[in-house]
Amino acid sequence: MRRQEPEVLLRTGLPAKTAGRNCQEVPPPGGTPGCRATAVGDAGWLSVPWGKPSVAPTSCPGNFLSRPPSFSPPLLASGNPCPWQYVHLSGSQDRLAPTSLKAGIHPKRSDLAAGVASTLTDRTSLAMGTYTYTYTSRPRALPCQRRRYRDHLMQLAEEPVHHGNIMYDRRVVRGNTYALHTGPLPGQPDPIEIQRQQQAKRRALAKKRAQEQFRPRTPEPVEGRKHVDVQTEMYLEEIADRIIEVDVECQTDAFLDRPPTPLFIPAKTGKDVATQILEGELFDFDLEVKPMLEVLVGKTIEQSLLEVMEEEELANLRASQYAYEELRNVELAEVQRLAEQEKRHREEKERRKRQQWEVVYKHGETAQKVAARVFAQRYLADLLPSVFDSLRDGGYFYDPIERDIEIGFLPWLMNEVDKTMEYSMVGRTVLDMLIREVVEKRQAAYEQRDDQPPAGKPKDELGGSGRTTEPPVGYELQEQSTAQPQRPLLGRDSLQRTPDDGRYMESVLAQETKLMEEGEYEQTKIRKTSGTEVLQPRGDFQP
Amino acid sequence: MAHARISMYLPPDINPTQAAIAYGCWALPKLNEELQSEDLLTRQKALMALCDLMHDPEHVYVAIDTGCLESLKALLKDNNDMVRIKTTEVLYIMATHNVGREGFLEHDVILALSYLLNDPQSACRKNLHLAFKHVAQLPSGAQGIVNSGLIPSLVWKLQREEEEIQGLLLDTLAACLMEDATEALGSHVVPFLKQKLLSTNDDIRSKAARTLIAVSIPLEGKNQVWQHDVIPILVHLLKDKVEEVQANAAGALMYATVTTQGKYAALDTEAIHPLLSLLGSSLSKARLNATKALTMLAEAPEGRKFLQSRVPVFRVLEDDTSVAVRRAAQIAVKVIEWKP
Repeated sequence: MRRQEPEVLLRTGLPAKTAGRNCQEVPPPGGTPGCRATAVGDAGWLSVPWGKPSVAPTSCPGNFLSRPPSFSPPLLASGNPCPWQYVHLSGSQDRLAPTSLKAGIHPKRSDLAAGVASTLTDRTSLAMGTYTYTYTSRPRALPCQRRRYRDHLMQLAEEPVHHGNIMYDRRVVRGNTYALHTGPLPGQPDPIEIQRQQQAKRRALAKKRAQEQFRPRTPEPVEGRKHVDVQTEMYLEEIADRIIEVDVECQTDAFLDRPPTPLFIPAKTGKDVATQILEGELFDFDLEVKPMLEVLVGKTIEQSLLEVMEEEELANLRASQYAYEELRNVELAEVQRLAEQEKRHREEKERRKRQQWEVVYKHGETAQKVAARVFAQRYLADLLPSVFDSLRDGGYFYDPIERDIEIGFLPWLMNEVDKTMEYSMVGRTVLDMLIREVVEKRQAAYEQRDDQPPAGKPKDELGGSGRTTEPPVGYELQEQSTAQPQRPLLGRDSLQRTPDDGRYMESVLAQETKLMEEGEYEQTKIRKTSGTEVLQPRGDFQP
Repeated sequence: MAHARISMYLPPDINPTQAAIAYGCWALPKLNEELQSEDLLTRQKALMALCDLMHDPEHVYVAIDTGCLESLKALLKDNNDMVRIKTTEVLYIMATHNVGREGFLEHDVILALSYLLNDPQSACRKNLHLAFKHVAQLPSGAQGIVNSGLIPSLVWKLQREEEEIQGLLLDTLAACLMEDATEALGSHVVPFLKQKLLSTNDDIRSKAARTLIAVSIPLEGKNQVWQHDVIPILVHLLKDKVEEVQANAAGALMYATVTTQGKYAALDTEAIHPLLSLLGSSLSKARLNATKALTMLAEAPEGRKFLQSRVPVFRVLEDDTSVAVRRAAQIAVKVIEWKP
């Protein structure tokens, strides 16, 4: 902020006077009670906007008087070290003028934003054309550093922040800048100045001494006498070397709490005017309120009516429903009763019908049964005798004795007969064997006797066929009995097969049988019969 | 004179618990939006405003049109008790109007409501049952309740709930069972009702008797009534102090004695005398039911025999004020004097 420094210092020269002036003067009506460092306004840097005239100036003076002392130190100390001030002073002036830009004065700060200056120079050319500008650091009103009250631990935001007023800021240069008394810079004494000061001091001292010499003095005391200082007042005053010291203490009060902001009652401005409204002038309340009341009351009543009607409707509905339900129940009951009755009657009818039908059926059945029985009786009336007859015919009624005889006795008899026959047969067979043996022996003997006569065959044949006498005999007899006409053919055929044997056998057998027959005609007959009977044993018994 | 200062207080008749109701036709759509908001307070305030509005049937219609029912259904599942109570209250108010009932049936609100049957808040349940009761007044509503399979749970609830709610339940059941009683009969409604008949509360007794009337309309119901020996209790109730109870008991008897078993059960418990005394009651319903019950009993030979001596009573009834009673009396006389 190089450019700004000279501004500040240029102004500090002026405020030295202005501050003093301001002490005595009544502060301007819009004067700031507090120190407010106001930002440089919108236009040039001469048009400084005043601080806010919010508080009444009556509270100013005390603060005001205390202000300058606080401002003097920065002045005397030649506060802001700006060694380049002299160097750039001339050069900067011409540049400052055209820069009608907003620039914030930051009197407190020594290390100001250097960028602002550079941006200023940089942008001057631009600003002329475009008139847009961006700050590196925005101008702002600086709050006053002097605190009047103890800091609140919780700083309330509503309390107005006291800003320092630029008008009363000693650091701000006021007045003309072309003929400023550029005093010695604080902090850096000028050697020439020092010398001059020293000279001035010496001269002053010398002058004083000189003046001392020329001062009339009292004459010298006479010999033997001494001048003594004596007090001649009425009251003696003690004069002591000791300097009367009076201890004066000054103590700052503890920081008080900031009293609450008094209620702001704005000053009465303007004229007081009173009016009076007489009765009936403005409006007729009753008339005006009527529509509103109507609406209010109407809405409420409407709602309540709705609800009440609802209830009533429901009650009516319910009542009619009950009535309907009654009727319905009754009707339904009636219907059910009738239905039940119907059902019962129908069932009864059905039952009776069924019963009747059963009766009829039974009746019919019984009649049929009776008829059938009668018929059966009749049919079977002569069944019994016929049955008996047939049974008797069938031999189911037998005489037990007869049966017994037939079953028991006769078989035994036959067995016995058989046995007897067997015996006889066996005897005959034995006999035959004997005979055969004899014959064979005889034949053998005969053959031995005469080997030449071949008449042994028949005996062989006899003997050979001795065993087979029976069946051929039977067969023969059967043949004889059965196939008489064919006999000659068949017999001859069979005989021709074994012609000799058969014939011889036949003859021998015939002889033998004749012999035997002669002997025992009965036995042969019996044999025949037995033979036939053997072949057809039951023939007699079964007709 | 009024101050120029604006007061810091709100006007006195603003209800802070209610949402502001927009003007005219914007009221319900706005409330519908507020119902769906995330903020609990907004929802509650909207519900309170809706409660007030729903008393007007036109608003009910508009509400259903703008789909408030869907948002209300969603709110039924809310966690906050107040919200649920208020939602059920709104639904109950809507159910008192026919438009509302129709809307319920269309949007399956009954099913959504049934989730709250076990709600811990009794106010919520009370509103729920009130809503059901009103829905059941409509025949298609009763059919809807039956169709959604709620009857068994409602019957079961009869045991558990407090008295006030029991009364509501009985009303609902009575209306639903008029439509279709088969489900209820399968869920032991008759024993429960039998217990309720013996309750000390007059209201509950009369409502239980009315529900029994509905139960004993179908044949299965009659059989169950006879099986569970409810008839003696009904006969006992004929001598009850409250006329309404007497009338309803007579009605239940009237239905139960249609079957032969019922008739003989009633005759065994000497039902004829109380019924005859009921003929002189002031309630026309009582007279009607009693006449009908006596008609049923007169179908049986024993009853007929006994009642033949009482024919004059019926003749008197034939001059009764109510048409139905007159007709019933004529029928009764006819039945008594019937010869097989």
